[in-house]
Amino acid sequence: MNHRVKILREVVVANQNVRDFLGNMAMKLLCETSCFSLCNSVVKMMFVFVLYSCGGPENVKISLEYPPVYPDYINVSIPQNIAPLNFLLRNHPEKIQVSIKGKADSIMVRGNHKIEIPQEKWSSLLSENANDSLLVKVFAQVNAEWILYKSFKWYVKADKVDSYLSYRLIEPGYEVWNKIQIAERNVENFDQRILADNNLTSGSCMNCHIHGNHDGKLSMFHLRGEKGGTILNKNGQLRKINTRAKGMLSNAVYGDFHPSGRYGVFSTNIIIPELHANRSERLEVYDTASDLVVIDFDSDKVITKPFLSDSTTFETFPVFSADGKWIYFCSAPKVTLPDSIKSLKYSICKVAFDAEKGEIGNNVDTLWNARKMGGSVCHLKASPDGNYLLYTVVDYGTFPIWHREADLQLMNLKTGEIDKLNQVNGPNSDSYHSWSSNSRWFVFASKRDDGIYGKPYFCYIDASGKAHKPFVLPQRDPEAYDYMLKSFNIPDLSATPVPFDAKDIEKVYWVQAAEQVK
Amino acid sequence: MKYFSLDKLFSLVFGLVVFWFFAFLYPFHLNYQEQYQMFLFSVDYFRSFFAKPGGISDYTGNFFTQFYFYSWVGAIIIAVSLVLLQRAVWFISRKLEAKSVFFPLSAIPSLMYWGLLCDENYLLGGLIALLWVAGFITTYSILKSAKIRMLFVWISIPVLFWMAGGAFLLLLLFAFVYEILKRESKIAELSVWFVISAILSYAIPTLCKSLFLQYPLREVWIGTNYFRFPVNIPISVGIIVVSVVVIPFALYYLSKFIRKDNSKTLIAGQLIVIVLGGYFLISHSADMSKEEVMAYDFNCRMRRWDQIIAMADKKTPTTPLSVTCLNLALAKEDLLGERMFNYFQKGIGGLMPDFVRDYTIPMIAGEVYYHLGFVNTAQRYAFEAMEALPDYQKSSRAIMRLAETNIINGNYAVAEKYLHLLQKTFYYKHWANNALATMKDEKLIAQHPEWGTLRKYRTQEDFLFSEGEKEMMLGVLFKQARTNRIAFEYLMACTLLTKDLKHFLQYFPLSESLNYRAIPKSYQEALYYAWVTTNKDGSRDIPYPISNGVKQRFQLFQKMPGQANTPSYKNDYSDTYWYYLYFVN
Repeated sequence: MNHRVKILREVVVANQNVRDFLGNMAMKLLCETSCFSLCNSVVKMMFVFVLYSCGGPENVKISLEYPPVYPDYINVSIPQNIAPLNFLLRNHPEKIQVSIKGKADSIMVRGNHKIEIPQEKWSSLLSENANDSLLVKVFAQVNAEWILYKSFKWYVKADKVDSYLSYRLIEPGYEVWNKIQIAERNVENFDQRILADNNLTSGSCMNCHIHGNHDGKLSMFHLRGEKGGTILNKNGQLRKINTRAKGMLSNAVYGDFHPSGRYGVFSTNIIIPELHANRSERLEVYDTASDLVVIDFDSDKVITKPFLSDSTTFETFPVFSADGKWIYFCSAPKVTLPDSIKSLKYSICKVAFDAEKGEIGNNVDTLWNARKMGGSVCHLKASPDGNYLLYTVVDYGTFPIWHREADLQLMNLKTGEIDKLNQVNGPNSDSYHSWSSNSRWFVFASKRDDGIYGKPYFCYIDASGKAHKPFVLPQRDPEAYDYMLKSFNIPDLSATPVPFDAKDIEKVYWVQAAEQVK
Repeated sequence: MKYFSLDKLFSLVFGLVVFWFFAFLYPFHLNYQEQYQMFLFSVDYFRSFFAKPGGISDYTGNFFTQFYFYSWVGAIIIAVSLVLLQRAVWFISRKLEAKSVFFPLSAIPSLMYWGLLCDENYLLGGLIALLWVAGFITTYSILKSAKIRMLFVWISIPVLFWMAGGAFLLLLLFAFVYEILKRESKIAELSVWFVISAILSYAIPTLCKSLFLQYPLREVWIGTNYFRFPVNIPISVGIIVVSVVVIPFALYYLSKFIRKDNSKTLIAGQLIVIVLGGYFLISHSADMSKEEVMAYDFNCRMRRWDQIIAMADKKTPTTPLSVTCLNLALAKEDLLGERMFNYFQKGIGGLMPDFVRDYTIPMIAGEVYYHLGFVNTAQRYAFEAMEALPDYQKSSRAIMRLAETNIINGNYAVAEKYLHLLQKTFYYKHWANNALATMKDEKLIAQHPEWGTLRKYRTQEDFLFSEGEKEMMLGVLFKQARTNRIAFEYLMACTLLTKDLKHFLQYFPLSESLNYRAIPKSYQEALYYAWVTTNKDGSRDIPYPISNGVKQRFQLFQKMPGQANTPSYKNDYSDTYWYYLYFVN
């Protein structure tokens, strides 16, 4: 009862309001539709009328508050090619009715406590309303009483997001892993495909899958285990590469593709996990040593520089710039670990790279100085248009997924200006991001809902560089996230699907011999 | 008594013996199995099983396994299942015209499966799969027309493959031999039927694998999880599965050698073989030492501290895990300092076991960390134990612990997620509803006898947990909550078990905040020993109130020469810290 009182604060009883709503809708339809579509519109209007006259909302109370929708899709910016934003209401209504209205057309959806928007109608509504907005009205019957909540908008952006999103599905554990899968989701609908499954590869761990040039024809991930290696996909041809050459600290860990597809830049790390004793912390993962290497995939040759494998500094999270002429990476002076873990702070540095000669430059520039800025940077990602560098900032260390304070920041590479993305960041860890090929969208893993289970959120960056409120990847069943015990790790966008699946990886793992880098 | 009723009486007695075994001799194995699964009444949960060949058997097995929470219900389920299998084998045998005198031998597959179920890693789903297959074979054997029987096999191949996994091949095997024996069809017809059946049997699993099943081929063919480790299917499973078909045919052939259908001697002989063989098999399959550890663990999980101590009083536990449970029970009952050396102790492994990447040890060790107030460590251990489950199941016990630890830590959103899952279970629904109600009110959590206390005890300062420095961790924990008596007693127990008297003496004054009425016995023994050995001239009085009894016993202990294992030492001093100090390595 208290909950209802809270919801209905400043509520106005409006016996006629549904009829008013329908009346307005009818007027709008009559005014806004052409003669050609008038017949169609009248039919739809009659349908809506019948719908309401058959046990629809009556004696509706109007709430001045937004409905308690989950996921939080209130006033979000969405790409015109996203899957239906199905949602549920958290106040356990008996019935809900939702109208989604564009400038010409609308969709009416009914459900118990959740709705599933029809895919086809949704797609055409989005394309009709590109660069415009959709008005969402939610009616809910709570304790036998109908409520009309404050309407909200979905701002439809003509800029599309890359259609394919790969991620690793894993339980957010500590040291022991169970079932790990790399999946590819078509974000325009709800189709998901498994690209790799450790059940098929003797339970071995697999790291996250990344694309080159946002293209499904170029991608890679590290498959660990006895018969593992870095799986490189080039035009559907799968290679298995042992990326640990003599003298390297470890196999390749964090990495990125050069725009040419010929090179990959990687860190090599000695990684140590430790458990926090305090309630608000969970796991601390840090490197006791880390270096950088570039691997030439054409010749299987490792390229490095002595200052990038210096034992006095840690280097990690390397990426290429959009034009491939620079390597951005994180660097920190070595400290005693774990005792001085809180003093371990990484800066953003860059060093030149000559793709023609396959040479790393000699001068390192610092773009973001951890000492001055008072934080530690992880996971650099350069936007494909070359304008921005997106990264995560934590208080200390190199493992943001268990740092509640981990937030994204956006650096304008032309002006050096930094946007702290207050509109984007949540109360828990926001990290592991990836750009869409048009540089208008990025996706990131956020633990904002519960602090443990990461989910992919999409964020729009408009032409002026302003970030909009993000929204979570829609699911056919909006309750899916509630019961899912997996985290979505390293979401990575691609314009096209990858040309392999889990069975191909099974074959590569068991049958194909690994190439050795030199 | 007529034989038809004798065979039913035999089944009844067999069932009762199985029930008695699991209900009274082996109940904690059933509780153990129940905790490593979480049957959800949800469509998604069903779908996750239905999507895999043999998954329906696993789903049905899990459905029944949830009732193992009450071991007597589990015992009924197992008894009924084994009796059903025996009856099915006997029914099939009779359809093959086996003589009724052979009914005791029809229990062989059930008896062997009983032996398997004594191992906690064999799952009920395997037995269910076998029952499905036996059911299909029974149906097949009822059909009178040869053509209908053949058609039935073709239809059954995909259906049974999906229900019971690779065990569907038994139907084909049985049908093939059956049709040859019956000779109701022409050889050509039979050959064509068999070839088509064989092609279907090979093609369906292979096609499923290549088209949509993302499981290793071996798993596709086996299907059902007979064993908790899907990659290792012991040969014994294969033998038992095949015996369901072999026994009826064997009885059919044996019947040819028997003229009389009512030989009492033969029945008695078979019963003797079955009873003796069964006794040999079950006594060799049952692991009573594991049962003991499981009993300690279950009582620990249910917070039955007095029962744990009573168990130890009857028979002192000797395995590190059961000693771990006992020490926790003693600490919970404020008796650790007083009585820990009354029982077998062997180092710190029986106090706070180290983390191991499996699903048993972290679950038990996690109980210790939880009750001490190391809430994050307890959470980790529960999570890791669940992740280590080789059959990818979720553990209801681990999910409960994750919910509890997150409530204590104030992470309500994630606690709610776990509680919503538990709301979809049969046994934990009520607990989850209560927890959800409690979670809405901070006062209720503060007043909660366990969560409220642990919230006070948990660490306030952050530090990286170091398993190798348990003593230091306990020190930090106690320093932050001076009323955490369990932490203090574990700290002292750590020093005593590691024979580190220097730190024992250093930490002992911390007990002031706990207002002990008298110094616990083992502390007195350690204090007195330390005092006597460092003040040999006896010029000063010991500054602690040591009882005269302790002083006198120590004087006698000192005077008594001999070996640790001599009866006098063991009888008189094995309950003292001095005995541990001198003779336990």
